[in-house]
Amino acid sequence: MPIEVILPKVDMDMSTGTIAGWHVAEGEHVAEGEALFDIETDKAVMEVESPGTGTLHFVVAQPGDEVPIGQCVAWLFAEGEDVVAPEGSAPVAAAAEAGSGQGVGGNEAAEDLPVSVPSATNRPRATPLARRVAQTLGVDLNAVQGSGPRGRITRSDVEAAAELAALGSGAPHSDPAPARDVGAKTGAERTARELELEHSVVPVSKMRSVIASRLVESKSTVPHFYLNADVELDALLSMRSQMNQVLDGTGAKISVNDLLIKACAGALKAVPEANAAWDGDTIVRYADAHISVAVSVDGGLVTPVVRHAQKKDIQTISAEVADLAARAKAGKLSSKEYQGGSFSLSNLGMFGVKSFQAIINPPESMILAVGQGVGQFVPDAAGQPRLATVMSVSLSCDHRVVDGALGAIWLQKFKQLVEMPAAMMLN
Amino acid sequence: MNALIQESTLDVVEMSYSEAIKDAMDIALGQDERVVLMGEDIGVYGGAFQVTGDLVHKYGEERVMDTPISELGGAGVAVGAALTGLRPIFEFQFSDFATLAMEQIVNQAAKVRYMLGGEVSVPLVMRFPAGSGTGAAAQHSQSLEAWLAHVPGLKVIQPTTPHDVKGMLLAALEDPDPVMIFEHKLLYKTKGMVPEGYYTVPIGQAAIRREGTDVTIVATSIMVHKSLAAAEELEKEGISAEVIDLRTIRPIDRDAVLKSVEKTSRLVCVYEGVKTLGIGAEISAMVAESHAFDFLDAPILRLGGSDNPIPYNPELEKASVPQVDDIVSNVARLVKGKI
Amino acid sequence: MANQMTENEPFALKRFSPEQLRDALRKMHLIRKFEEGAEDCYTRGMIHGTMHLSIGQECSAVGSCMPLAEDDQITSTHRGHGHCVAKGADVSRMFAEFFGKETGYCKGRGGSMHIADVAKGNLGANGIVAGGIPIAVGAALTSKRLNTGKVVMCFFGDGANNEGAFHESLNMASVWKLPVVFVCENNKYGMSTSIERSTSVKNIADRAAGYSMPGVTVDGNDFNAITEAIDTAVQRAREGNGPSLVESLTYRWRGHSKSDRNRYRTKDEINDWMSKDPIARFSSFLVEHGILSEADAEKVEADVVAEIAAAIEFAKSSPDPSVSDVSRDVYTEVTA
Repeated sequence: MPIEVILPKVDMDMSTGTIAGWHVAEGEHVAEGEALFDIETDKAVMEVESPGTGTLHFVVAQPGDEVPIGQCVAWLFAEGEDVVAPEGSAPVAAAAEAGSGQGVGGNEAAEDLPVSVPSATNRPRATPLARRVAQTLGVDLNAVQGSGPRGRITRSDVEAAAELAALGSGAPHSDPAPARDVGAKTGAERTARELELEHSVVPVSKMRSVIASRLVESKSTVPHFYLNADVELDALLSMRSQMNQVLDGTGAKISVNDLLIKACAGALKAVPEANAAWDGDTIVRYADAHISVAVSVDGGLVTPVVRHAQKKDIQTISAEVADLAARAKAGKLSSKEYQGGSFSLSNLGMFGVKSFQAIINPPESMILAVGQGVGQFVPDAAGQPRLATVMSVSLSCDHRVVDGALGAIWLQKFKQLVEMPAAMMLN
Repeated sequence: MNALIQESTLDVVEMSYSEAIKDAMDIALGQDERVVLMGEDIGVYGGAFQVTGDLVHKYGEERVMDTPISELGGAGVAVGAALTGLRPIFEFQFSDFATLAMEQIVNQAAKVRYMLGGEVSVPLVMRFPAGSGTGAAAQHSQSLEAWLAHVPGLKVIQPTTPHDVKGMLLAALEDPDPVMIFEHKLLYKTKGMVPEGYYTVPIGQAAIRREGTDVTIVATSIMVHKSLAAAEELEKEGISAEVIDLRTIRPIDRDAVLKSVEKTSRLVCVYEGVKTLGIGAEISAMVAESHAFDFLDAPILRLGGSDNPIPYNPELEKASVPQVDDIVSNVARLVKGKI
Repeated sequence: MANQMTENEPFALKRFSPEQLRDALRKMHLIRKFEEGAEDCYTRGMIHGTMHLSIGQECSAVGSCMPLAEDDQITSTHRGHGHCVAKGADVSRMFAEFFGKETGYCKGRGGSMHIADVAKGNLGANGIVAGGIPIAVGAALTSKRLNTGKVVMCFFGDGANNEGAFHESLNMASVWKLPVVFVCENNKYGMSTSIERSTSVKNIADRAAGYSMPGVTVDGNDFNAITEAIDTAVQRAREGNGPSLVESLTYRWRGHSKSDRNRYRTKDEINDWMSKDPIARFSSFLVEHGILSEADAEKVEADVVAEIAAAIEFAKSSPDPSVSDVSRDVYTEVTA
């Protein structure tokens, strides 16, 4: 049996070695312990001693060949031994290719790492929670304005956007998960069932859910107070009929409500401290009067905004309100048309309501509740009865922004504008 | 559970943190012949921080052993003793001096069991007085717990109350593996109610020290106390902070942290060790890699030691580690969306 | 050395039975063939990592362990295969460990540098120079404190004598009078740096004086010399008189590790030591004193060759550890 000359492992992190050169030529004699060949690792060239004494044959690895450790690179034949080709004596250059990858301690985990995806440059900045909530609520983050540093969108931004979207479409969402607390189950259905009261169970639409949660939030977190006043409408009604006479035949018609919007805007302009909203650690003051007008629609209500109302003439306001109300009922308002109001007006006079108190529409800080104008005798300067059309109004204020006196000043200004409507024309 | 039931039947007395440690060691020495205390000047001197006190008079020099000033050799003797049947409690005079013994702690104590295929274990307890605030400057004020927490095979705990330090030290003695106890030096004199007699507080469980809804503060060691003080201040600003006392930094109570972050959506890590590559980095990454990531509504914040050795000047020393005011202002800014 | 003998009869013949002496020869052969088998498997790529062979140091390992009782303990070094065999380990499980198999002494987690056999009192080889020295002192502390009567033998190389752990440990062992025997196997080189270039004292045993313990330097390749010196030290430890330092002069024929290029010593030096083969020397001694015949001596060697071949087969055919168990035994699993 010829002695195998193998490529030895000579270093701990070695899986293959490259033959650097042979000290003994094929057919030459070599004694055990003599230098036989050199191998090159990535660190050094090392001399390999002959494992036995004999004649070198079947050198299968040439200088430059990379050979896996343990593989035979030649055979030594003893004197008189038949020189027969042993198994594996074909050249090894090709075999090394396959073996070269069998290193020890390969870090497989590194190969399993997911390929990183380059991020798009214009992705919206949003917190992980905001992204998750956006997905759940079906909100497009590209359309959301972030309130955080560098415009980062947080959960509350997404929830606000979802509420606005719900109000805008007016359509009930299939999404059963309300964004905020709408109050615990009261057991009404169970009681009705137990007492065998005839009833039906109506699913809470997205819009109803949003109304519920916002009003729960408003009534439970905003410190409301209320200021009531009677306002005489006769001068305003007289002016309105003159206007409508002028407009007769054009299709346009000014309503009392249109004039009240104008009066609210004028009062806000006169008392700018009240044209404001609470924002946690700051108060936002608006430069213009953006009047939200409550419009009841199928399944709830929405509050489209008449922008910069103090700068607009009556006819423009009237046309806008008509348009907004029509589109609100059709569920065709865009989100910008019902967000960012600075004051709300709610009028239930047309239903014969004498007076009521309204819940503030956050984040606004005032809402004016308007009842029906009714004829009643009021004392004149001499103490004699005088017939007048009197409307009861109630102003709800957020005490964090508006104190009693400020609310009172605003209400006084409003009353003045309504009772002397010519003043509305002066700006 | 058993521990809780047992504990609830024990009388409770007020004692300081260092008295609670001594009480635990006293109980252990009294009930288990295998327990020995080893360390520099822990005998008649009573220990540099008077933790071992007069135990040498009660148990003798054979069981309360003054070692030469040989941290490496001493630690190695403790490893060998633990490996062969004793239950040593080894005190480093200052945790800083453990750097001299890293070979035995890191290469031997932590690895012997694994290297020998589970044939042996090293039930060793080591105590490390740590932390700044004593004016002892750079070589006597470090918080090196993260070094050791980086080593699989060790358990690393940072009890924060007299109650916990006693119960956790006794739990460490019951533990078959090496347990490293980091004791903040400023806690030694703090007092609290401690049950008398034997009870254990489990290693690997965090404690929620204060519940809250707006932000989770994960704190270690003395920073738990500072975070609780900060939480009081934050409450006045309408911010509700949950404070988690991690207690064990290896193994970390992952569930406690993740559950809290899911609830509050914000995470602040507060620790005295150097901020860079510290405990907070681990907690932050752990949350970022978990399902709790989806609940984050703000960036994760770390408040840790600054990147400098602990200086001597008291104002500089204070400035080098988080203080209550730093915690208050940073947490407030985070919760208000300013960070 | 001759002065220490009370009679002309060699120490080993007085101290050990013929059977013990024949077993000592068998163990030396077993170590030699084990090392050669390991080397062959390594060069063929069947064993990975690295290894430190103790060929040439067999007498030192076997001779040092001869005076120990079965439950005495040892701590070993990176060149620890010989100590492991000498303390009675099964070479099949040693090979299985080198092959990284679940049947190995360390279940494939330790390899050559952490080979151990706790059941036989071998607390483990150590990959850190001087790492095992304080551990041995700790084990001796346990022996003293729990009164087990065990003596702990601490093996280390010449390189370790300049580590702080060596000095701290000798000091503590002496201060506390612990039952430990420090055995420095001085094979002349700490990797490539000779003792002359690294060490301030002529003999490492001179260090003992600094720690008030006996220190002797003996020819570790002389079975009589090493066993006698160790026997004295073990007795002293057993009787509660404290530690001793024995310096055993020996030589490794192979390089420090498998990546050694032998640039720091000459072939002549190596050949000189190889010509004074400690196993052949001990074998001749036994034949000379009629403990065994030439034929017996050859048979011992042949039996060992077969044992090693069988051990390698056992290792090859043993199961690999499961990758899913990679974190097992980092901590003790506590069953509730």
